[in-house]
Amino acid sequence: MSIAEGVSGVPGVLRGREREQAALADMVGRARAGHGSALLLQGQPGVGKSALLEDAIAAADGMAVLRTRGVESEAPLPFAALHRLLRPTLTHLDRVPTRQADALRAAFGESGDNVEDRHLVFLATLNLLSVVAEDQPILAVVDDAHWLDDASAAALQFAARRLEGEAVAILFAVRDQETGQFDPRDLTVLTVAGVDEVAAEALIADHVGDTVAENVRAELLEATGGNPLGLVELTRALSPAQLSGAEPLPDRLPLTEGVERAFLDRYRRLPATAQTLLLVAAADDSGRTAAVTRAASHLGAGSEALDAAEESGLVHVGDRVLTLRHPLVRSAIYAAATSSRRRQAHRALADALAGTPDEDRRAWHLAASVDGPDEEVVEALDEAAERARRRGGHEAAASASVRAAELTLDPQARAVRLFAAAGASVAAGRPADGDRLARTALLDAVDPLLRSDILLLQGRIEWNTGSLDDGYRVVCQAATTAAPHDRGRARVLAMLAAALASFGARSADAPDPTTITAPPGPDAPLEQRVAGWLLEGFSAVLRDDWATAASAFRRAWDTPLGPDAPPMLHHNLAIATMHLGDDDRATALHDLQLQQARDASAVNMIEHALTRGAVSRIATGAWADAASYAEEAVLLDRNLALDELITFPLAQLAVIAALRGDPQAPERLKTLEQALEQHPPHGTIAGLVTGLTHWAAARQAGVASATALHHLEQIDLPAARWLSALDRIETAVRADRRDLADRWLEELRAFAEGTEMAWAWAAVHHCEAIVGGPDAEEHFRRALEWHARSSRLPAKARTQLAFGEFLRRHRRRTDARVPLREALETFESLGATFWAERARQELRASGETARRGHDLVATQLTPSEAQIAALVRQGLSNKDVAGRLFVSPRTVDFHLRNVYTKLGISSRTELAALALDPA
Amino acid sequence: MMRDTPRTFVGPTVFTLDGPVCVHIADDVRTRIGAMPGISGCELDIPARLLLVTAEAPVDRAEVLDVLRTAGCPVRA
Repeated sequence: MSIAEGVSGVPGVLRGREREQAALADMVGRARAGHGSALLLQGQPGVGKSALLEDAIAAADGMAVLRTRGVESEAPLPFAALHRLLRPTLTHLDRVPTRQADALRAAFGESGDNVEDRHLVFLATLNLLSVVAEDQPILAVVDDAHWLDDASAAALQFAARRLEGEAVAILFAVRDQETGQFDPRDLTVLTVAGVDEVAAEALIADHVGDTVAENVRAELLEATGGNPLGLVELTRALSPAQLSGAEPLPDRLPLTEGVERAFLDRYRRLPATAQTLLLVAAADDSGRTAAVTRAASHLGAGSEALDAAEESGLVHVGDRVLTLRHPLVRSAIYAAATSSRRRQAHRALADALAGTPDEDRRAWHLAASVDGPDEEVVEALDEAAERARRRGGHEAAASASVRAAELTLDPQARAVRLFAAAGASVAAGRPADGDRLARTALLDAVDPLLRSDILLLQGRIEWNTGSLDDGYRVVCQAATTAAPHDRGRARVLAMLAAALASFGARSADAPDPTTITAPPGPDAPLEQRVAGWLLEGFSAVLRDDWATAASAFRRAWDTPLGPDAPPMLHHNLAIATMHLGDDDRATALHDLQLQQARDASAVNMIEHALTRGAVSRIATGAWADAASYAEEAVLLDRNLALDELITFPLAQLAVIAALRGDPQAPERLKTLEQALEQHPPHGTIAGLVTGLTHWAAARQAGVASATALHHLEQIDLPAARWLSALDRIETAVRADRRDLADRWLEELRAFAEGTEMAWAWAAVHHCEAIVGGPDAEEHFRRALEWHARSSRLPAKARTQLAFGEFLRRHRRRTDARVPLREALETFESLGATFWAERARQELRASGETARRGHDLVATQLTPSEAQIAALVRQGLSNKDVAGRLFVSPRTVDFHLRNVYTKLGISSRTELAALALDPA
Repeated sequence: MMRDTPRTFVGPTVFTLDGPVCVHIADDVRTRIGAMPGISGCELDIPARLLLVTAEAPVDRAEVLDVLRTAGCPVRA
């Protein structure tokens, strides 16, 4: 689409724009040198933003220029503006990671595929720009960005914030106070104001001639504030007598209104058929000459109308593309028409588009053409919504479903459409809209199962973005609503409610989830029985009834469920493992989930599986893997702006660093604390994040026992208490708080008795031994017996260390060496510097000339480098690594070069051949 | 769609108020919107800044917006 609008009647000549030109030249120059960025030109309509963009394009010798513009009426067409921008680059699409390329093709409707996750489209946008810019620097120009369709706006803003290191400059132009869905936050803004007197004089001379009296010029300058479009159009609208100053100027209007009035005066002097054609052009959003002329001819405006309209200068008609002189022409003409004339124009455009691939546009023109409910139109909108959803245009899908609902007479059918719109809004990352639409849908929904579905969505929005407690209450309501009509469904919902409660949700207004439906009978389908056991288990966790929880969860886990069982069941089967600290099962289930999420490129699910998989690995001492999972999640959260999730993996990294006694531990904790301030954790992760944070704080080097204890006392969630059980009780003993130590030990023993988890019994005996009872040695031995059946290696080594210390203090130095050696070996393999040093000291004290521990490989690599190096060592190509980590192939290349330098190697073969894991 | 694209609707529609409204304006809005042909309900949730308008027969959204503008109760686009 052409951008040849604006007032630069003398091509290439800008008046009074030296400052702006310099700023643009500087920014484009930096992009040429590989330091890309985005810049936002902001100013009133007509102030000359488009002219500046044209000027920047003219100066962009040797750069690839990509351009697009937002069109006001195009907002419901997903990725339309982005498609225009990227069209010239699509031949390079095979150079970006395959899944991203596929997603972009699907988003543009070039394949019939579904976009599984919109982030892939965003990444494809960024990475396509990145790879094309390797060949030739890019200047991308987006005019009227305030009218971009939502999906394009989201993709371009994603790319615009990630250009550092790319030879890409993106210029946006937006109107003052009309940013639309375009969020200018943290983009550099260049405000474009009116021109000065000298430039104004020159502009008037360029466009109108120099027959304008000086006092008239001065008044025009004042009236327009130096707005070039205003200067030219208002001067043009004056009579010769007014120009010479012989007659007074017309009454002053606000600038935009004045310019629109000037355009409208020209419009009204045209023949009726030309007016019809211009109204159709104003209602059109395709900019295609053929569509506009065909529609206009339906309304009796033929080729003579086209000629007259073009002569007026209000429109430029090319063979293929038809462009209005300025967006204000569109708004002036459209606003001046009666609503029945507008409807006619839209109906004519819809008819002109019938049978073309432009079904989405046709649906929207149809919607604008009717004056009440209409089933044909609703069907067209439903189809448009479905197409938008498949292409990842969730905002557009929501708009189409809302519009369809507005034209639906039957309340129940209306509720179904509003519910679909609510779901699409959530998928578009607009939970507040989703909530509003869900509430509206509830007003119409009568069918209890539909109401229950809507309530579940509302609850999900609430617990993810608002309050966990309120979300819990709404989910209970969803379950209660479904209960009389579909007990199976109610049971799954009640199970979900109980799961939320087990992670800290409380509400005085909610029923006990177990009372919502009767338990499933022995003949009930397996899925129902699993839901019933999970419900029983989660509820038992709440009551600290560990025996019931363990037996119910185990029955659920032991029941084979097909992959087609409701995801909610699979999901909560995995979640339940955290309550028992069943690490092996937790790892297996979450890894399975991770695999499925990776296969589907479902970003949020990948994040979820990574962070849950890290928790069980922290417990078992697979700390390198846990750190790598958490690092990947952090990278994902940062790259994809999932900021609200980032505290969870950061807390895991802080814990791992603290447990290892890593010199970076304080820094990790600080990073976490800063993130907690910016993004207090929400929903189901809040209790775990808080617990992990206090655990990490308590385990910092040199922390006084009382301070550490103060942190450990604030760990509330049982699952987090179990993870930190040894530290809690050991610290209470060290701080001389026998009361606390005893209470926590009793708590742990009750858990162990109920669940018979080996790690828990091992921890009980370890703690019994250290609280100073008479049978310490016996307890140590029993602890070690239990450890042999558990996979919590760090805990086992700590028992061995404590036992060794005990034996040495009792002058049994030879006996002491056995557990101490084993402990040292484990700590060294874990990279637990602090503990390894303690074991070494003990060994020396027990008389062993302890070999100097091999220096633990210092982490020379940054987390990103380590992450990338590990994947390259697995044999992944740079493109695949980029796809896996959701970064650009160039970023991978950049980090990999640093890895080579730091490790003194020069190829991936050498990297793969390194004996040690460099991380 | 443009701001003034014809948009008739039936059923409930929720508008988000662009700023706080006083009780006086709220009453005025209820009366004026409630009196429009086709409108069967108008509820204002002042703390939540939400306006719920229900139409039992087709109503042009632009007309509702006009009435709100006149009443001094602007809503978000």
